[in-house]
Amino acid sequence: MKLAVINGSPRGRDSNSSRIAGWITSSLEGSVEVCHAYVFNIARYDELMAKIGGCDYYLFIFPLYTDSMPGLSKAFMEKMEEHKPLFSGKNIAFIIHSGFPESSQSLTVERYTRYFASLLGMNCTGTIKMGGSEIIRSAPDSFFKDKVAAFQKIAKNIERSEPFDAKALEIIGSRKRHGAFFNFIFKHIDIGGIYWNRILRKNKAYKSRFDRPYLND
Amino acid sequence: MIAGRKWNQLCGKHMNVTIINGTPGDGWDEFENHLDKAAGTLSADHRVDFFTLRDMNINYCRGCFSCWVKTPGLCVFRDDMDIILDKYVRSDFLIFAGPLKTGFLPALTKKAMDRIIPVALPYIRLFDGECHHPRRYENQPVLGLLLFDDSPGAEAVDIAFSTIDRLALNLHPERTFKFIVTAEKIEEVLIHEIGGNQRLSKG
Ligand SMILES: Cc1cc2nc3c(=O)[nH]c(=O)nc-3n(C[C@H](O)[C@H](O)[C@H](O)COP(=O)(O)O)c2cc1C
Repeated sequence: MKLAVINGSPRGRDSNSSRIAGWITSSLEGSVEVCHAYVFNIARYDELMAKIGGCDYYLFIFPLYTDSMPGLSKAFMEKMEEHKPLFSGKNIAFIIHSGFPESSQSLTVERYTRYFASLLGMNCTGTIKMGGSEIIRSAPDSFFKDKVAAFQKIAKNIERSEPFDAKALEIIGSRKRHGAFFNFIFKHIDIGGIYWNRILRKNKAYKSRFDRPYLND
Repeated sequence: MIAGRKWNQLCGKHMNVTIINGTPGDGWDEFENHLDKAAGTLSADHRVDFFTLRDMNINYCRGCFSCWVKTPGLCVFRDDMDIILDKYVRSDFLIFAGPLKTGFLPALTKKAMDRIIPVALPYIRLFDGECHHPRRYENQPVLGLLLFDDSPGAEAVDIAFSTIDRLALNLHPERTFKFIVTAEKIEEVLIHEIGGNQRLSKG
């Protein structure tokens, strides 16, 4: 089988999407040939279509950007529609991951992934939603042990072109809308604040964190 | 301020309106002509800034987060998005107009939407059990979507509408409006939503 991994992150190789892709491709059997495409290569889209057109299975991974796919991922999808005959009748799966911890953030664009697949006459084998992805790049795999193991299971599903393991999906997208406990913790500890302020301080930008450059106030 | 805005709308007072036309290319002349005409009509009472994205130089966001952690509020790219954001922070209405492409907002529109994040703060607050960002600027325009109707599937329209609703959870506009319109209806819908003397004079 030839698998095309479409990296939908504008960050390209140095992205959380790349890390997630690696969790899957590293556990594929040798019989699966992997072909990589990066959506940031906008000048090379025609070339990329020719490159991935011969694949049997497509895995499209993208981060949530302003509540849907990044503009570059959408540009790539539009290109795929232009070349619809290359993709019709084939399998496609999606991984949508978001900075925010809840997988519920991605529900709307998940609907679009299914719409897109049907528009291209493709068979959507599944759409995986995962929250809290922004920290992946700055942490070792051991930090995400359960999720890595779940993605290894997904890799097996892809190999066999079968539906995704329900338990693996549950582990990957476990955090949905928060309940009372998280609400309580969140009220008392500003986790996001600690994270961003540390980076702002490192960049010597902490003082200007509330700047409004377009108003010059 | 909210009450003031409603009052202004009722009285047909002056509004700042930013219209972002994301029509990707040819073939939508009738819609674009009507959109142009509607912008002209609205200009009689309001300040209207009309942008056609395909004629502008806007880079795709590359996800570096400089606009949050290095130069707060400012993207690394100095391009035409500066002109839009400069209006955005003073607008009462921000309206995305255009057709669907490949069953969703065109990449052109999505590109501009991604580049809005400098107006949000990186910080995270919990709203209804979900994380969202607080705003950087006090002012937050009413968020509108005007889809050109060439009979796209109901599912595609609904997905686009709910994307705007989700975006609103992070941008915190006072309200949103979403319409799918034929070319002839564009002016009517915009006047109805924005208000103005034209509406009063027409009864
Ligand atoms: C322009 C922009 C918009 C984003 N919008 C959202 C969003 O609406 N919801 C969310 O949960 N995360 C959002 N994020 C966070 C990304 O999804 C997150 O950082 C992700 O891990 C990036 O993955 P990547 O390294 O593969 O690009 C946004 C990031 C950027 C740069």
